[in-house]
Order: sequence, then C-alpha cells, then structure tokens
Amino acid sequence: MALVSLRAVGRTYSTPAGDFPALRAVDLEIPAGILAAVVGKSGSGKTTLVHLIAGLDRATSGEVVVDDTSLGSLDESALARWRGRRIGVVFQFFQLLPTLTVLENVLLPMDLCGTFAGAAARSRGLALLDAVGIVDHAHKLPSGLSGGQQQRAAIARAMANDPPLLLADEPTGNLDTETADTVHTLLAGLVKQGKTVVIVTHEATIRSTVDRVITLRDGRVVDDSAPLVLE
Amino acid sequence: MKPRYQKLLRDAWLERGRFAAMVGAITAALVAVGTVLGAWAILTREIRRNYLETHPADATLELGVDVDAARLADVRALPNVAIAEAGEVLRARLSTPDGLRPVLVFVADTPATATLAVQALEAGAWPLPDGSAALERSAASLFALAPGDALDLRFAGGERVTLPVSTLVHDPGLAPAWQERMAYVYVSRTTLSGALGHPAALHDLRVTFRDRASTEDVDRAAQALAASLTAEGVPVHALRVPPFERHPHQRQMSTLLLVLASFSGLSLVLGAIVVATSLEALLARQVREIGVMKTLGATRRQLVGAYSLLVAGLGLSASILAIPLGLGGAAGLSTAVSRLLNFTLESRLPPAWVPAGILAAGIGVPLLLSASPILRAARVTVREALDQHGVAAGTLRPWMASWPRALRTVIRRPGRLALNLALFAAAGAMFVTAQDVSAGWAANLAKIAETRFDDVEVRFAAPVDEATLASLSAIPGVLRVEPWGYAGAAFATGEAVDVSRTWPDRGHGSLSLFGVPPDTTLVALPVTAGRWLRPDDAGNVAVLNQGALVQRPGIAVGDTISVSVEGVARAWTVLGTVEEVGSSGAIYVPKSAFPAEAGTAAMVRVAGGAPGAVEAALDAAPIDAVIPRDELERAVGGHLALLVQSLTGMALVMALVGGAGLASSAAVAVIERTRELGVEKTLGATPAQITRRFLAEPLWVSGASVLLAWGGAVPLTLLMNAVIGQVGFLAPLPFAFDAIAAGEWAVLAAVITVAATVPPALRAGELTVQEALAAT
Repeated sequence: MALVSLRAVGRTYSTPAGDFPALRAVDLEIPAGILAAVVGKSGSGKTTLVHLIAGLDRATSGEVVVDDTSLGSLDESALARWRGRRIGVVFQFFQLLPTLTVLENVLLPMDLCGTFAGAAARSRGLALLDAVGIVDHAHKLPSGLSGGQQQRAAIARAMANDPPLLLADEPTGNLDTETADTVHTLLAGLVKQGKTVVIVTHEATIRSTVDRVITLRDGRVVDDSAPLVLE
Repeated sequence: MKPRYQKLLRDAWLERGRFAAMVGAITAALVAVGTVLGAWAILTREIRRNYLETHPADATLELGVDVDAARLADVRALPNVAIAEAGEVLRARLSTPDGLRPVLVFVADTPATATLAVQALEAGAWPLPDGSAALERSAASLFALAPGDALDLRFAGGERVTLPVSTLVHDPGLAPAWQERMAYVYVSRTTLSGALGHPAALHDLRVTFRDRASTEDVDRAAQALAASLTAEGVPVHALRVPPFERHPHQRQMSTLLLVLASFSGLSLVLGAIVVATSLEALLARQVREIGVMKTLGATRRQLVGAYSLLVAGLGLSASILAIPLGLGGAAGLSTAVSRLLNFTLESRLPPAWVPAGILAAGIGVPLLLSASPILRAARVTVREALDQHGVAAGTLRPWMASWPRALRTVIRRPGRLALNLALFAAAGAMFVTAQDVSAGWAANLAKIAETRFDDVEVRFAAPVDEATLASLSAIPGVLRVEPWGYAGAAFATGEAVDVSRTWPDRGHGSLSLFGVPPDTTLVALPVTAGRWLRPDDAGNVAVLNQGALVQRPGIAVGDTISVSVEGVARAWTVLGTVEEVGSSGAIYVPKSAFPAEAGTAAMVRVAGGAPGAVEAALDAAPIDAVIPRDELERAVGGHLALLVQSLTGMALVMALVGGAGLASSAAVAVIERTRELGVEKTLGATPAQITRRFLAEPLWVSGASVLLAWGGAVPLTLLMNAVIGQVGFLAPLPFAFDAIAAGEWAVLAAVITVAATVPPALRAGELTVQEALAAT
C-alpha cells in the first residue's frame, strides 16, 4: 500500500493578478521505503507538492492521504501534531532555530510532540547527531556550524520523532558538491533503515541515486518513472 | 528546561534592549497605577479614621438657651441619644502681623473630658488649663504660633481678650487652616466666661444617636429631639447635620484621586499597547521560526501558551519592580495629601489588595492586549510563515501615489499606525490637558476679580450704623462703601426646625442670604439662567448661586423657594441663577425685601483703601469676619498645585511609554523591511539616505499625533474642567487652551521621537547589502 497517495489534488493561489494554479489534478502514489525525487523547473509546483504532502499547506481540491491519514480531515492543531510525529522536513536553508543549540534543535520536536522526554530525549538526540556525524557540535549554536553541518543537524532534527516519511526541499541547494554528496548519502542511508524519503531537487545528478523520479511541469506530473541510468 | 522555553528565554535575551523597554514602559505605568491606587486606599482609610477619631457629633442643635448640666441630663436620658454634650462656636478675629484674621473659637464645658468633636494632643498641657487656649496645629503653622505665645482675640461683641496658648492640638474634623485662611482655637467654658468677664452660655447641643446608619436616620432622630425640646419650651434655632461620618473634604479627595486613577489606568493600557506592538515586532522577526516550529509539530495552543508565558514573565518582572516603587509613591502621595488636608497617617501601607491589584494588572493587562498579535502569529500557516519576506502593501491605494514616501510607508501597517498614534496622542492630550486645567483654574480664580470689585468684605454680628459707614467712607483711598443685608439661612423643610448640612466650621455646606443694594456696583456675577436683580425689583424675588443650587437641586427660574432665617421661613420667587467663585451657598435678594429681623446692613463691601485702615476704622464695631479679596483668592487658589503636578507627572509617564512605543515601532520597521533595504542599497541608496528615511517616518507619526493630542485635549480638558470645577467650585472651570503647553508638547514629542528612532535608523543605515538580502 502507498505511504503517500494524492487523488486529483489541485492547489490554486489567489494573487492580485488573478488565480494561479500551482498544482492541477495531480494523481500520485509513493510507496514506503523508497527514495523519490521530485524534479521540475522553477514554478512547476515541486515545493507546493511537498508542502501538501507534509501538511504544511492544504489542497484546494482532491485528497491527500499520507500514512493512512487523510490530511484534509485534520484541523490545524491535529495536523501539527500529526506532522510532528509522522513527517520529517528538511529545508534548503536548514531553518535551525538560531537561539537553540544543535542538540536543543533536535530535542525541540520531541518536546513539542511529547514523544521523548528528559534523559531519554537527550540520549536519543545525541544518538541522532552521532548518526549524522556532528555529535561533537551538539552544544554549539547553529551559527557556529558550516552549511553542511547545519543541514546534517536539520536531518537529525527531522528524524527526532522517528517519522516514517522524510521530505527534503532542495536539501543540497545551498551546499557545495562534496557536502551535497554527503547529505545525499545520509538520506539514502535512511531509506536503507526503512524510511521513505522524498527529495525536491533541481540537480540532475541525483537521478542516479534515487528509486523514482517524479517530473512536474506547470503543476502537472508529466513523468513518473524509475530513473534512467546512463551507463 | 524544555527547549521551547529555552528558546523563549534566549530570544528575550537577544532582544534584551526591547524587552527592557517593554518592562520599563509597563513598570512606569504600574508605578503610576500603584501610586494612585495605593494613595486612594490609604487616604480613604486614613481620612475616615482621622475623622471618626474626633467622634464628630451626628447633629448639633442650636438652642436659644444655655445647655447646662440639667438640660444635658434630660437629653442623655432619652432612649435614642447615645452622647450629648454642650458646645459653642464663636467667631472672633486674631491679631497677626499681617492684620486681623478670622478665628473660630470652639468652646466645650471641659475639652479634656469631651467625648464629641475631640482633638488629639500634639504638644503642651492637657487637660487644658483654665485661662489658656489650645490652638489647632494647621493654624499654628499658618500664623507661626506655638505654645507659650499669646492670642490677641477680638470677639464680635467688641470684647478684646488675650489668651496664652498652652497646648497644640490636631483636629482632623476641620478643613485645614491654611485652606480656610483662619485659625481654630479651643477653650473651656470657664476660660471663656473668665476672659469675657461674664457667664458664657453654650448654645450648641451636640448629640450622637443610637441605631443610625445614614444622614437620613440622623435627620429623623434630630428632628424628633428638636420637637421634644420645643415641646418642653426650649427654643431650637437651628439644626446642623453634616453628611454622616464624612469628612468635609472626603468627596473632593476621592473625586480627584479617581481622576488620577483613571489617567494612571489609561497609562497602563498604553504601556500594555507598547508590549503588544513590541511583541508584534518580535513575532514579525520570528515568523519563519514559528513556521519551522509548526513544521516540527508545534500546535497553536503550544505557541500561544509559550508567547503568553513570555508576556506574563514581562508583566511579572515589571510588577516586581513596580510594587515597591508604587507603594513608595503611594506613601509619598498620601503624605503630601494628608499634609494638605491636615490629617495624620497612622500607616503608609496600603491594604494587601493594592499590591495584588498591581500584580494582576501588570500581568493581566499586557496579556489581554497581546492576545491579538499572539493569536495572529499562532494562526499563520506554515506556508505563509515560510514565504514571509517583508511588509505587504495591500493597504496602499493608487490615489496615495502622490503622498510623501514616508507617509505611504507608515500607512502600510494601519493597525500599528493607529496604535502608535493613539499612544502618543493620548500622552500629549493629557500633558496639554494638565496645563489647560491649570490655566482654567487660574482663569476661574481671575473671575473673582472680574465679578467682585470690592477689596474687603466685612460681616458684622449686628446691623452696622450710619456712623460706621461714614467712617469707612472717610478712609483715604476708599472708593465705595456698600452696606448689604447678610444672614445665615437654611432651605425650609417644613419640619419643626430647618436642617443645614454644615460641618462644625459653619463654612462648608453653609447657606447665606444677602440683601443686595439696588445701586450696587461692586458685584456683577455672571448669570447662568434667568436674570440678575434690577434696581426696581421689589418683593420676595431671589437669585441663587450654584452653591445654593447644589443644596436644593432641581430649582429652576420661576420656582418659589422657602428660605428660613432666624427660624422664620419666607417664600421667594427665583429670578435667576449665577455662577460665583469662592463662595458657599448664597441667595441674593433685593435689600428692600431683606428680612427686617436679620438687619439690612450686617455686611459692608468696601472698594479701595488699605485693608489695615479699614480694620482700624472698625476697631470698635461688632465684627464677625473681615474677608479681604486677596485672602479669598489665596484660599481658593492653593488647592490645585498637587493635582496639576500629579496630572503632569502622569502625562510624562505616558510620554515615556509613548516613546518606548515609537522606538519599538521604528525597530520593527527596520526588521520588517530589511530585504527592501537590501534592494535599495543594491540600487545605490547611501546609509545616510536610509537613516534619514527611517527617521522621517516616525516623525510623520509624531506630527500627526501632536495634532490629535491638541484636538483630544479639548474634550479631555472639558471633562476634567467639569469634574475638578464641580469639586472645587460646584461649577465647571472655564475652558482655557494653554498654547505654550501645546507647543511644549510638540517639541517634547519631536525630541522623544528622534531619541527613540535614531538607534534603529542608524542600524538600518549600517546594514550591509549582504545582511539585508539574507534576512528573512
């Protein structure tokens, strides 16, 4: 059964210039345990698609079902609680809270969702930072870390509540090639641990490392296939 | 500590400057609230305690015979009478280096054993030795007298008596001597008779009743007692029942404190608005972080709870600072007022509800006013939060294109603009109002000189003869001498004896009947309804001042009123009403219609001539009181200083709060438009240009607020004039716009604005393009 299921999903934004359809009747299913990439030109609807899957935005038509939950049926608070427990989100600009240490950033989702507390939370936070290779920086503020280290911290934070689905919006768009490769490796490693990862990206090179590529153009899925691996 | 709270604390630390401003604004407002609330609680308690400790008589019956021991025994035997004592209040004049000044001489059988209208010993001998006098402490202060000095007294009957002062007492049941410009002296019956050389009769029967809880209860009991005495053949000339258990100045004090409390409450609301706008600034900066927290699972309730906790923490910090300062302020204000009103504070600590109220207000009001920005921030969707790049321009309309850029910029946030305008305009309106009220009070005082052209008013104990009038006219410099009819009066009630609401000083709440000479040129009181007396008016027609109207509300021109003089009631047709400054209740009637039994020349108004010469000419006359007009002006004028100082203090608190609000707004403007700044700098804007622009925008707000303040000061001044005028003069103060104060506020507002705006404006100018474009 699909972990993510979109049925005739549309999202239209009202702008001073008129309505702008960012997504048009998208049907999409993403099974569990794969690494999927959402690609397309700027304005094609990639970010909107990921925001709808994460429950960060609401569809204006159709139905979004993630992990057996129809997101349209949840009110804002229920959606926030569900998202905190079932979805991990990684942003292009990391979005670590600047006044919290790296470890505290990782502990924050546990605190907000009440999943882990006290020593257990702390132990889990350190373990996650260890897993992404920055446990030595646990007590630094984000401003003291490089971009790659911050993104690793963001991945650790996204995994804080052990969600089955991790969504990454241009996670390497702000990183150099070498660091980007490290981040991709980390995300691929999560899939091996049974997680499902959906990455929004511009980068063509990633096609060789993912299980599936979903291509968007003008708000529609124009290609949804296994990647073509060039020999 | 949970990470979300650690985040809050660190955010607060990062924004410590703004948080300090918020705490400062709330603290200043809370100190004002605490000072006034605390003073109100302390003074209300203490003035009542002071007054009740004098054991004021419920009623005083003025009898036509001496209240001797046998009479007292009879009255005390009545079932409803709790205490009965004899007393007398005599008018005299005290010789001082500045001339003769009025004196009230309170006589009791034995002052030391009296249980009604008692005084507290301050210094000297007690029980009061026969042959000596006690002096009230406020009078001692006014006339620079002390135990050991001698009082040179002249009684209305012409007797001249010298009495040594052996004792200083405190009598909080009376208005202070420095307000009334008269002395209070206490003697025993023995002393009085010894000094006067003939047996002194005490005509006042002072009583308290059992089972009474209101003025009406006392009225009924006193009327019954008067009827009983009359039935026994004892003449009862007058019945004086002051408002039950209320100090003569209690209502005035409570009203003025209520005015101050209203303004301090307003300053608290404004302080809370500063917190709300500053918090909005913080939230504006954190909107993406809120989006991230929501992404991580934060619910609205968690966000609302966390930011509410932050505001509550601010309020708690401000309250902790404000409670001791407010209590100190309350003690200071209470001390100043108690000195002004001549009563003693047993304790300068307010009741526990005052600090509790400061704490509740300090936390509750900011929370209440911050609820809207907090809820708005918590409601923002993750997408909106993450897409936030600056201030929208949706409020701008095409027709605004011709406006100056700074004006177009401030209009982009109409809610914040309204709050800032309200904040500064309210502070300015109050500042100007405080000065306007002061100017109105001065203008009202000037009315005394504009409506009365005599320099001295002399009241006689008996009708004055032609020879005396001639001697007055002969004084060099005297321009005019007018003999008037004058008598104490009361509105007839139809009961056996008419009741007057007069305190023992016989001034507060009194009513007088004046016989006006047809050709008077010394009085021209402004008519508020109907008309003033004409030379050809004859018969029982009357004009009432506002002091008389207060005693009998509802009287209109054309009505018939019944006024009792010397126990005889007469009907008068009301021709008009007038406004009179510095007078208690007065009824003016044609001299030709003045009751003959009261004499038609018991008062003389003299214009011109030195007051000393007038007094010297009247040396042998039976004078009740000599009231120089400048003394009257002094007596009326000294009451306002504390009020104006308090109002100005409140206005300055509000100005500080307003400045904090503008500083916060200017900082928010920089934060919100950092990206725009980056773009402008990329396009070539210099730091100086950016700084100037960020200075100009608050100055627009400040300028508009000054106009609003001037406009707002008009209704506020009218309101204050009505309240304060009613308390001080029983009529509204005249409106006076103090242009200097208005100008002062404009300058002060500009200075505060520049001071509050320079730091964020400089910061805006110093931002690099890199920093600006990278900002959220």
